Amino acid sequence: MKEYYVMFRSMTSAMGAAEKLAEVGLHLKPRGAPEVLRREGCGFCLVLQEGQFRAVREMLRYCRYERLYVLEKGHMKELALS
Amino acid sequence: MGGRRACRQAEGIYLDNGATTLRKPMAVYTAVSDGMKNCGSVGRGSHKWAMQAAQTVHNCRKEAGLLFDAEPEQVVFTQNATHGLNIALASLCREGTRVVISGYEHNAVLRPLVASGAKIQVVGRKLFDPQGALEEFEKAIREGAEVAVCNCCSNVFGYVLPYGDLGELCRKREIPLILDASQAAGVLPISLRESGAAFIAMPGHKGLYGPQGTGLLLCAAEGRPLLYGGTGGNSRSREMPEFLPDRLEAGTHNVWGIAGLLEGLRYVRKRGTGNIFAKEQELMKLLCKELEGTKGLRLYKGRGQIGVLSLRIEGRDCGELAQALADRGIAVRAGLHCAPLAHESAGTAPMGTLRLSLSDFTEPRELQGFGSVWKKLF
Repeated sequence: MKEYYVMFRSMTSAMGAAEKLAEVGLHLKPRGAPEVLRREGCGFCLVLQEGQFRAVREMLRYCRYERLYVLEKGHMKELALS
Repeated sequence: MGGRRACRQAEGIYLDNGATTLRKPMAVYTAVSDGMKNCGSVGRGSHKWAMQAAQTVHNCRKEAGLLFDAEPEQVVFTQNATHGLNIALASLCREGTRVVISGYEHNAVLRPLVASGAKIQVVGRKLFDPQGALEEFEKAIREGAEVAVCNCCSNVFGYVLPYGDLGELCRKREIPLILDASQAAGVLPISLRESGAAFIAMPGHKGLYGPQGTGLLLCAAEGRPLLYGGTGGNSRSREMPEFLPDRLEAGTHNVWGIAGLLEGLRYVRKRGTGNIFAKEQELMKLLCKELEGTKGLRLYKGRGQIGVLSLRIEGRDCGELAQALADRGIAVRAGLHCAPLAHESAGTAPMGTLRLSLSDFTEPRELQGFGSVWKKLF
């Protein structure tokens, strides 16, 4: 089961993104980022399950995120939206 | 409901809204109280109290963005307009920078500029002459001014300066412009997108009906931090963030104040600045009627003036008049109003003027009450 971490450098951008996703029916609250990702300078994230990520993948382009990671089988890997 | 319901103030007649609005929409008081009970600190955790604070602050940025045509990230919270102006001036002006300012700037502009060592040129000294002011700004910019600063509206005289046309001019000439919207916000149209300004500063506690200790700095340009400290994100870095709004918001936010400001902004948006301005115009007519016939009266009036009226009485000291009114439960302000430059420009220095200033919550019966007292004094 994959989890997608959409990383933001500030609470303002995280909240803005959460609002955009809420417009398409996905209601998420920003969370504190895990330590391994906080080292990259981003303090807040939205966590999406695989189905959620697939549903809003295109929308994420407009969400001013800083980085995107996928957590799979215990490994965190950076992801680029093509 | 409830846009227009305001808290009942203690007895008396308050005509000092230019300093701070005393009567606010009821929702503002409730929001501050709720904020104190339910809000933690923004960005310092993801527990429910921190998230409540984050949501409140974010909602306030959005509301300000809607009112002033700005993205939420361009809305920076400050303690007041003075704080915002200091950030803007420190971002654009150094020793020797050639800065052109209007003759109606507040000390919140003049003092930081003097302290910075910038070369200050004052233009547009003639009261209620926006066209003349614009022409003088244009000349100064043609002759090499590097930064322009303009008060949207004088806090002393209610004189509306040509900030819209000046913004257009500065945009064409690629000169950064700082606007002081302290008296204008909530009464006159202010748009970051349309204005051509690099920065627009305003307090939360005057025409936006928020609590004291709040203010907004709208940023179209990158600002230089005035305060350095924690921002709740990327704590490992020894430097302030490069992005807005965090770059200019060190330290704990005044979340409770921002909660109140959110309700003030909602009130202004719902009411409409045009309607508020129209009401102040009607109140001004009533006020002038109450003052009519006073011996030796000089009223400082001009076209399009907002609800701020300065006056003098020949042979009478403004300070003594203000005290006499205060003794009878009427609040006004006398003196130089933290704007000595405005008085030098208008010829009312060194004594200054007596200033009466209105709000959307001023009622006609209060002006009639003022009129009765005023007539007895004379």
